Amino acid sequence: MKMIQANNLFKSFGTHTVLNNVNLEVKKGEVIVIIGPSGSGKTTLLRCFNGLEEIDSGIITIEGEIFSQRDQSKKDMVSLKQKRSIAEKLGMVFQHFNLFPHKTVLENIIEAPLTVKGMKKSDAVLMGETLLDKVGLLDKKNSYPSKISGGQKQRVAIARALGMSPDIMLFDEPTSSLDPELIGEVQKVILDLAREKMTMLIVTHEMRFAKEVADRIIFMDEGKIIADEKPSKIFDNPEHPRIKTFIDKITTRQSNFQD
Amino acid sequence: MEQYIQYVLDSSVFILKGSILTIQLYFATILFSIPLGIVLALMKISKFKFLRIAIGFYTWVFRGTPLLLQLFFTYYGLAIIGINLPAFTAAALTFIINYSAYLTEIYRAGIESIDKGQYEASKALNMNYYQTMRRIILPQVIRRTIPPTCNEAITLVKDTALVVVIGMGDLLLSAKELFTRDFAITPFAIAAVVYLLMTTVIVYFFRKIEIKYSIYE
Repeated sequence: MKMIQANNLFKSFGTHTVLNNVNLEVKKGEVIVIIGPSGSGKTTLLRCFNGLEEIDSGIITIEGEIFSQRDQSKKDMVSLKQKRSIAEKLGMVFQHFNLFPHKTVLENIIEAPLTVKGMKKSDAVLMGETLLDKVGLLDKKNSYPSKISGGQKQRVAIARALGMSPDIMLFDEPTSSLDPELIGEVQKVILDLAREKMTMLIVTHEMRFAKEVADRIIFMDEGKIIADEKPSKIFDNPEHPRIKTFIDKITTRQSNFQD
Repeated sequence: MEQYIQYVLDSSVFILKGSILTIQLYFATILFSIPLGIVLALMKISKFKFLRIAIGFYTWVFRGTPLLLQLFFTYYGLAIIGINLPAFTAAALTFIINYSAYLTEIYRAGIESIDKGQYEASKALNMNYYQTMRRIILPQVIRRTIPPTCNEAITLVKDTALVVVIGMGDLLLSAKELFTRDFAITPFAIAAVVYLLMTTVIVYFFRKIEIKYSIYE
C-alpha cells in the first residue's frame, strides 16, 4: 500500500523555487532518508506532507486519500476539515524539538491525545508511560523540558509524536541541533522504530545513520529529486557527480570530526 | 501623645472607609481588563485586517490621550448627549477601557514572543487554533507578561485617585477632607501608608504567581 504519493509538486517562496516538480512514492514500512545540500527543498517537502507548508501545485495523497490538490494559485481542493483528519496519520519530529516548556515530559505526550482525541486521562497516562519507557525516559516523566538534555528532549518529542498513533513519521533533521555525544541515543530510537516497520521520512545530514536506517535514499538538489536509490548505490556508486561531491564533502567532515 | 494616637486612629478609619471605593474600582478594572486585554490581543493579531485596524485604532486613542481626559469625557461629556452614567459606572468603564488598551499591547507582544515552533508542534499534533491558544500559547504568554502586568496593576492603584475629579469620595478625597478640616499633614501621611500597603500586597501577590509559574524554567 502507498502511504504517501506525491505528484508534480511545485512550491516557491517569492522568486525562489523550493520544490520543482517533485514526484515521490512511499510504501508501507519503508524508511526513506532525504539528503542534499541546504536549501534544496528537503525540509519543505517534508512540511508539505503534514500541511505545515502548502504546495503551489500538484497532488499529495496520504494512504489513498487526497490530502492536497492545487493548481497554481487556486484554492486547495481539499477542505480544512478533511486535511485535519488526514494529517492525523502523520507525526512530526522537529530539529529544535519544540516541546511545550510549561508542561512536564508526560504532559507533553498526553496533551494532544487528551485534547484532540478526547482520550481518557488514565488511558492517556498509561500510554504516555509506555511510550516514555520505550524511549528510555520513564524516570523523567515529571521533569520539565528545561531540566533534561537535548537528546532526552528529542526522545520525548518522538514519544509525543507517537502518542497520536501515526502511521507515518516525519523527521526534520532530528539530530542537527544536538551535541555529538547525544546523537546516538536519538538515532537508536529511530532505528528501533525502523525495526518495527514504522513508515518514516527522515531529513538528515548524518550519512552513516542514513546508510544504516534507510531503505531508500533520496537526493535533492535545487528543488528536484535527482536520485532515488538504495543506500548502497548512492554511497558506493553514485551516478550523478553532484551527489558524489556532496557525499564526499559531508563524510570527510563527519569522519574528521569523529577521529 | 495619647490624643495624637487617637487622632491618627480616627483619621485612619475615615480614610480606610474612603478606600473601599478605591478597592472596588481597582478590582472591577483588574477583573475585566485582563481578560479583555487577552481577547483584544488575539484580535489584534488575527488574520482579519479589519479587526487589526480597529483594535489598533482603539489602543492608539486610549494610550495616546490622558486618562483624566477620558474620565471627563465619559462622565461629563456623555452627559451632554444624554448619557448620564453614575459616577462609579463612568469611572469603572473608563478605567477598564483605558487599562485594556495597555494590556492589549502587552499581551500582543507576549503572544508574538512565543517561538513559532510551538505553533508548528501544536499543528503537527493536530491541535486546532483554540486548543493551541488555550493550552499551549496563552499559558506561556501569561507567565512572560506577569512583570509588565504587575506594573500596570501598581499604576492602577494610584490612578484610581483621579476619580476625585468626578466627585467620587475615595481614599485621597477622604484624606483631603481631613486636611481641610484639621489643617494637619497627618491625613496625607496616612493616605500614603494606605497606598503603600495596597501596592505592597499587589507586588507580593504577583511575586507569588510568578514563582508558581516559573516552575518550568
